[in-house]
Amino acid sequence: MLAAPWILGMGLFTLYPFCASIYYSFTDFSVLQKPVFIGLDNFREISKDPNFWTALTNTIVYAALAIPLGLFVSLVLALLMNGARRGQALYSAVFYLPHLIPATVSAILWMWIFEPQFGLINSALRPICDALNWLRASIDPTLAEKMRQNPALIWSPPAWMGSATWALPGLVLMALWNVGQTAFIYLAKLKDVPHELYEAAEIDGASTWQKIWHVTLPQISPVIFFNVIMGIISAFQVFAEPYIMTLGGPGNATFFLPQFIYESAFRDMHMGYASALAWILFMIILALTALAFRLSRGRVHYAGK
Amino acid sequence: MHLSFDAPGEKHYEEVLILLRLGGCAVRVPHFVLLGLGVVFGAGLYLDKPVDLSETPEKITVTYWEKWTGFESEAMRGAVELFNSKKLKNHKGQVIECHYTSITHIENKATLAIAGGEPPDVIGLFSRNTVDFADLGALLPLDDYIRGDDFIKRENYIEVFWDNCQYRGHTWSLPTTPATVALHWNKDLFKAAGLDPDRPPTTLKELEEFAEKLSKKDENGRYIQIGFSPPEPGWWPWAWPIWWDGKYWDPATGRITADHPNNVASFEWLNKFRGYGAEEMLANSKSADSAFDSPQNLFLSGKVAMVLQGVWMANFIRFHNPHLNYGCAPFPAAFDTHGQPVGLADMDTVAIPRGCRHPEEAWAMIKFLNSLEGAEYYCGAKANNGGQGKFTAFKMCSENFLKDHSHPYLQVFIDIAKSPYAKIQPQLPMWYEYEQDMRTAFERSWLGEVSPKKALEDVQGRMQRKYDRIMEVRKVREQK
Repeated sequence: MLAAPWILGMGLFTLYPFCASIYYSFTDFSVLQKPVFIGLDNFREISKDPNFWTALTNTIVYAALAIPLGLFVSLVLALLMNGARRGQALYSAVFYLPHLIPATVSAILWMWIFEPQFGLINSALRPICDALNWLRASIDPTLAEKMRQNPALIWSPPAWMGSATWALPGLVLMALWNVGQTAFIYLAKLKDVPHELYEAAEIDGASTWQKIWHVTLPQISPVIFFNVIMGIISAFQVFAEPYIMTLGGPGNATFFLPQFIYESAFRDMHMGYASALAWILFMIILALTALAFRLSRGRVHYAGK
Repeated sequence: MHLSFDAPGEKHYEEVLILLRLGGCAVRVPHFVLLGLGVVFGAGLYLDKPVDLSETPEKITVTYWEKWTGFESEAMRGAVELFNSKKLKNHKGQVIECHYTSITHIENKATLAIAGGEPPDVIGLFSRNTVDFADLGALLPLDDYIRGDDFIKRENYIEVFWDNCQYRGHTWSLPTTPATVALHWNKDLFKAAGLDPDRPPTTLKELEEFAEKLSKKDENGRYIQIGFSPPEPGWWPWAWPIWWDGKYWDPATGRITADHPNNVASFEWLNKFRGYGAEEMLANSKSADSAFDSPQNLFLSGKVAMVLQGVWMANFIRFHNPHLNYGCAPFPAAFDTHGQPVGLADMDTVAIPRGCRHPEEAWAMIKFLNSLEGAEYYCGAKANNGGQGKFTAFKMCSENFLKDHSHPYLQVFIDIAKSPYAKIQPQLPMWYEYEQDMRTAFERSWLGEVSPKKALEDVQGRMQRKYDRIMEVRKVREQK
């Protein structure tokens, strides 16, 4: 009886929509009209839709960059914080702060940071580019005149959200700003690693890197595994930031599956199609999570075992 | 009495929490927090009383949702107050009162309200919604209401706006605030570049030449002022083919024509401006600091000398840079128009959602919004804060409408609307997707990823499949 409110909420707001979406994925359904059963037509259409393959590719590329980089940066931050003799509380607060900022606010903030003319990043990169251009022109005087005629020859900082090449890496860079929570989880586990293991390793003559590789990483492997699973789930569901910053552009360079699902459902009013897309995304995340579990055997060491 | 096994800190913590003692009871901090929350909640309930929408023998209330905020919303609110002041009555003798609400993301909320069976009586939509909502059975046709009306007929409306409210033989909505777009140019920048400030480019070739003279670089060779930036403001990359007499589909055959040669030619011409910094121009049109309604808008801040913008732009010039010396003229066309201007037309509409409580009274409100008095009120200079600053959808206007209007170039936009070459978006059931795909095609072509032809062929293939699928499903639904 005490669990009844949770069961009721879970049933109404999670289980029912979950099951209903399976049915709707086999229908043509717009919310404004009754669903009409069309079998596998939605899935067939998805397989032929170039936008789906673009969105899937972009999502996979984003995840392939953001997950390992995010894990690496957060681990390095945690190791540095763990080793700090003073100011640990201050560092913890500073690195965790971005996680408290709502996604919409972060997106608008980073739009300013990525602004090609006045943004922070390009304001720092432009003098370096100008210095390199000056050096190139000094070495080859004819290049100076060519650069005056053709500005495309001038080395400039990237246009970030205006560039099909740099927009996605820009989003990955933005994701790295938000690794505070992951670093916190690592830090908590790092403090749990027995000191005796490090002392034993030192006695055996292990270097810093050897201690990290043979003591630290195996000891925190359950937390690494947890962060890998959470990273997969969140990377494949990235939505707010690209939707606000680029709307999937330029030229679909940052068009991800969650945006495709959202637009199919709420812009185009094809709920059935969107449900089918959502189930495909769910199966992809499930498959990757299962793969992670499979690969974790023998690599993740739990204290109880 | 404290138990002996208390930890040393707990006693102090307990003492800190106790704020006062009332007759032996300890009142702690959490009690005050709960009390404070209760006071705030109660005050909120008291101050934000729900509006009384109940029907009485004397009064009937019509709910009206509109999409606008700010001064545009105030103009509509003023029109609703004017309607309410007339105390019109329905056939039962009840006074019709309209309750106005400003709703953001109105398309999504309208969909949910209509699906949930609790829509408003009058809804303000975008022109692109007429086909979608009508196709999905979400709106009531207005034919019977219009049949009995003396003023609301095609002869009194500018054709492009009236025709876009028709779909599959019925009238589903009526216009409120129409708009067209035109070339805006910065006269001071023209003068500084040695051009006649009162003479805009009248051909595309001239526009290219003017743009070259108006573009400036800094000492490092990067552009700091652009003559013309096609990605700015970034709202209608799909519409450029209009100035090339492009075609989006053939209604007779149902064939999508995204890759029409004229459409390709438009994108090829736009690519001539890539040399001024394609990626930077695209990034600038999307960046936060050059937002449309802001003093940093690229045209308002003098970074772009010529821009294609709508009739509403005069309002934002007035707000953010009232000293801007600018002009408006039709954007040059690539084909012979026999002296007629070419332009993109668009509009906002009002409709009656299916399932609303008071459709007859809703029609009374829509009729007022589509009267000369009502429309001139919210479009013109008489309404709150100067109105919406647009023209009306009617062919005629009252004597003082143009005289009192705040827009210095309103006639330019009216002439474009009345031209046979004023084009509005096609009435396709998947237009929203088509529009987005055209935007993607423009960006891919603009950034040099693919040729304009390839970009538009990709749109063609995808949209033809979407259209064919929608037609198949429509047949299945009609058979059931």
